[in-house]
Amino acid sequence: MSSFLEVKNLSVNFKTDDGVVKAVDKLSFSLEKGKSLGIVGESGSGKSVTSLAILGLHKATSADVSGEIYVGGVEINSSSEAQVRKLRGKEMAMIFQDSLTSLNPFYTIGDQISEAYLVHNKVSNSQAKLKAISMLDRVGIPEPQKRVDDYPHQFSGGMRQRAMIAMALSCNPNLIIADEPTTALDVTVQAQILELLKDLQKDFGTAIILITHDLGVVAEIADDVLLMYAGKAVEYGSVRDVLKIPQHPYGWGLLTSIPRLSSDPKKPLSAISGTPPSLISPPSGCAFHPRCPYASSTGSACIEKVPDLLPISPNSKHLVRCHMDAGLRVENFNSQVVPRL
Amino acid sequence: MTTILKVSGLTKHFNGNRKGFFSKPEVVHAVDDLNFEIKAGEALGLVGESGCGKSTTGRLITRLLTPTSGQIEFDGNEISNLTNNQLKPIRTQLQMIFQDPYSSLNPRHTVGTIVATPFKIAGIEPEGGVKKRVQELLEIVGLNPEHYNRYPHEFSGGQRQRIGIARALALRPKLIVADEPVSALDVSIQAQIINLLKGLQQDFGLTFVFIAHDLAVVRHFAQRVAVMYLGNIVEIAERDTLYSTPKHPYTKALLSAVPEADPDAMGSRNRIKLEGDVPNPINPPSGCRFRTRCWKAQPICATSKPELLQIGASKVACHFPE
Amino acid sequence: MFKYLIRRVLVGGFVLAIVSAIVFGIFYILPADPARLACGKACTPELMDRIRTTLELDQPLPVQYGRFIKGIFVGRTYLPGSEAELNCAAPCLGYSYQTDQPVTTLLKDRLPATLSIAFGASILWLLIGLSSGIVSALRRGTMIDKFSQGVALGAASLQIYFVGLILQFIFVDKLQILPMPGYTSPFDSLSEWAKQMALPWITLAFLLSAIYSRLTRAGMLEVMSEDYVRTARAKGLSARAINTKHVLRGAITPIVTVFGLDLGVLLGGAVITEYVFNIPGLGKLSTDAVANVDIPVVTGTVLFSAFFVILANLIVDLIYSALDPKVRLA
Repeated sequence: MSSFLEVKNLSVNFKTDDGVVKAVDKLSFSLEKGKSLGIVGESGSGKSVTSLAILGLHKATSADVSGEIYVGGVEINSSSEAQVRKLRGKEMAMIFQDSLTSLNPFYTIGDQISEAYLVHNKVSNSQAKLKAISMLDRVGIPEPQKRVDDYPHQFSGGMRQRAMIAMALSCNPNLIIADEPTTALDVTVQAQILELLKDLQKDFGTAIILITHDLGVVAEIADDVLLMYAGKAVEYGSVRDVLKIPQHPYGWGLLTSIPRLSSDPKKPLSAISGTPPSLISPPSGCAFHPRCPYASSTGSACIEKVPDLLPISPNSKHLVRCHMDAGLRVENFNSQVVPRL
Repeated sequence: MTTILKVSGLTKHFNGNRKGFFSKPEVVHAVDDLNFEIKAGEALGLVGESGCGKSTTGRLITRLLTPTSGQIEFDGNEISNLTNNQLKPIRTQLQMIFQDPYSSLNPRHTVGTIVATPFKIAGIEPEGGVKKRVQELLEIVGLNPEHYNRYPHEFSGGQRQRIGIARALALRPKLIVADEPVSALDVSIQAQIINLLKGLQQDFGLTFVFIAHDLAVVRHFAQRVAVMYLGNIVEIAERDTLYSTPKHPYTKALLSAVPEADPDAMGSRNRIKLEGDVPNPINPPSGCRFRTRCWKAQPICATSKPELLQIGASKVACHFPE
Repeated sequence: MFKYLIRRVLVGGFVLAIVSAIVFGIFYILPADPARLACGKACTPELMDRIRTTLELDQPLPVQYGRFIKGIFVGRTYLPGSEAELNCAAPCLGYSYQTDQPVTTLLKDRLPATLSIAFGASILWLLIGLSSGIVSALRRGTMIDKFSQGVALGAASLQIYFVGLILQFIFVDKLQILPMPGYTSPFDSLSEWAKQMALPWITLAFLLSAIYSRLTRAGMLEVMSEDYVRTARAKGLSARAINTKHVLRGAITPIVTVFGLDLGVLLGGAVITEYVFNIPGLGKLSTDAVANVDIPVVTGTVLFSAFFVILANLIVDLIYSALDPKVRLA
């Protein structure tokens, strides 16, 4: 296996009072060390559930996880909690969206970073603290030797997120999963954090999975993009492929509906009609078909059959899950989508 | 075009914690000395990052907060110091749409009740009855009027926001303040709501104050945009002018920080990196509040607070505008 | 922090002053005549007049109150200058109408029993309550959880006197393992003290550990769903480290707060428990005094217990600020 992370047919189901929620449905992708994957989707797409599954955090819950996840050769789903625990923080680490609630308010930032380090390294407390200080310095926090004794609420949002990054990097993991790391931050701070992540990736050679709904963020930092909808991957490819020559109508919808600094403000935005689907009783066939302007072009295929994730042309690395005829797809893209980008 | 809202010297300070037993409480300078006007039928965008005071400004305009000092003139009436009772008739003309569609609707009320509440409070009986008007409003915002008796939890986020909009429209207000109306919504829904608001503004000639932190969103809605930083307006200009030729360094930095969904755009764009964080509004920097992060800062920026002056087509508060 | 402390102490003193005024005032609004109450059974008009003069009951209310307060701080002299001069050392709370003893002495005598009950029971209920709550939270939904919470609910719905009398019946009368509850000083005989206190401890702990068990369980479950616990798991911490360092730590603050307040109230006298087991503590003292309308003693016990509650509140506030960095550094 050349990739550090390999996800094969991952499915995650949750039993609720209203029925079974199919949060992730037979997802497959891989990631090499030193590269970045952007997982893009909205709420209910299954992106966060996927990241928790990679860390094996569904093990103690009632979630039903199937498929295989290989992290550095170790299969997560069949491993015990104890075995996976050894990997958490050391081989793979996670950064969460809300840094204020994701840090323990009762301990100092330094304590929490030291804690992360001490789990996997047998050193003294004072050595761990020195490590914490050096990590804070590395992520650009001024006066780290003073701020190491501060509590989370004494840091600003941007600083706190940097501290979370410091904590995640403390054991030099090979994979970092960042779940919407900049969504709660101001745009100028977001720019700083994205810059920092790119920088750190160069130095540490970490693989990064960046989960976001923001296509702009993905364009900044990702090498490859996985677009998710209703628990399934609907498009996958390099960031240039997916953002410049998108193939899936959902991606088209997203790209044409987001307000951009470059688009014409006088024209109304082309919105995607309808609302995200229920995960308990998803639409039949292709989950996107109720909102897809092109669903009727394939006869009844979109309503009846779930399309497979296939390359757009033989040997292409750009994959799409859609019934649309290839020629029609190019035509629609050029006539409907390009003018609106 | 008549001026529908005029704000002069608007200031709001909040009392923070006391540091010691006998010392005075700390003062949070949320908004200081705001001056701007809005013409009837206009859409003014108010952008800025956290702590800039845009939400506070929205609440001051609708008198959800009482100003510490300054004047607010709405439709010819001076409303900055009116009591709640005196404000009642005016409130029918000044409405607000809130950010969070989940917490701004009472979960125990049906949609019909929620949208009808403004009539109840104002004691107004619309022609044809409340129910008819409510159903009209639901249709205007793109909801099924048959869903009159459903509860908020039966709707999605985008639909709930539409309910909030219907509620705001009920009394045909002259001015609507929309405080981050799409930030809490999924990306694919944001466009629907932005289009809806824009359509409503054009169809009904409504005046809007559109508060947001997302510059691209504001650009699609507003005709004029004001940029705020740490309680002050640093630049106001017509939309196209502001976005193509920003004059204040902060506006420039803000625009360059917005990520574009185009991997090729990155190389060509000069990203301005702002160092550090937004300063504490309890102790804002002297003189120009942006000087601590500004690459153009000179000694005069610390001693003298720049006024909002007309420079070309924009109003800018800077000693060294672009 | 220091200034915060001073402020709280001043406020506490102020509250105590108000309490004293209210208590003092209430009894003088009562239709009963204090002189008659003080007089007792063998009462004659002359005796009543003498009492009235001695206790200065003919003075206006504010004057009486003033003398009372002065007595607390510097002591009080009744009938100064006469041969019946009586010196009541500070803190002077007057003399019992029933027994003529100085109230302060009575309080001092009764305090050890109440302290014994309060501290013994509190250690017991904390141990039982916290551990059963922790186990319930960690094994949520299992039989252990349902069982212990069921027992907790049952215990909380039983009245103290009911539990106490049943236990006494079982352990003292039937099984004869324990002696009749009472009070022996631990300095005289540690084993007798413990054996006599056992039933009051168990009775009080029975009810209170139920409450603390539910509190702990609820607190822990709430903290377990916090984002920072998820972060701790993501770092690879063991379940034990997560449960102690993160979950328990997050849940403990409200429990400590409630504990301080419960203890404070108990120090003013575990009224029902002392009554049921006939323990000579402050609780029994105050109930007897109320029954006999022994005004000075009632005033004394009310003030005393108010003092403990205020002190407990103060300590709880300090502990809270020690435990919660957001409060401490504000």
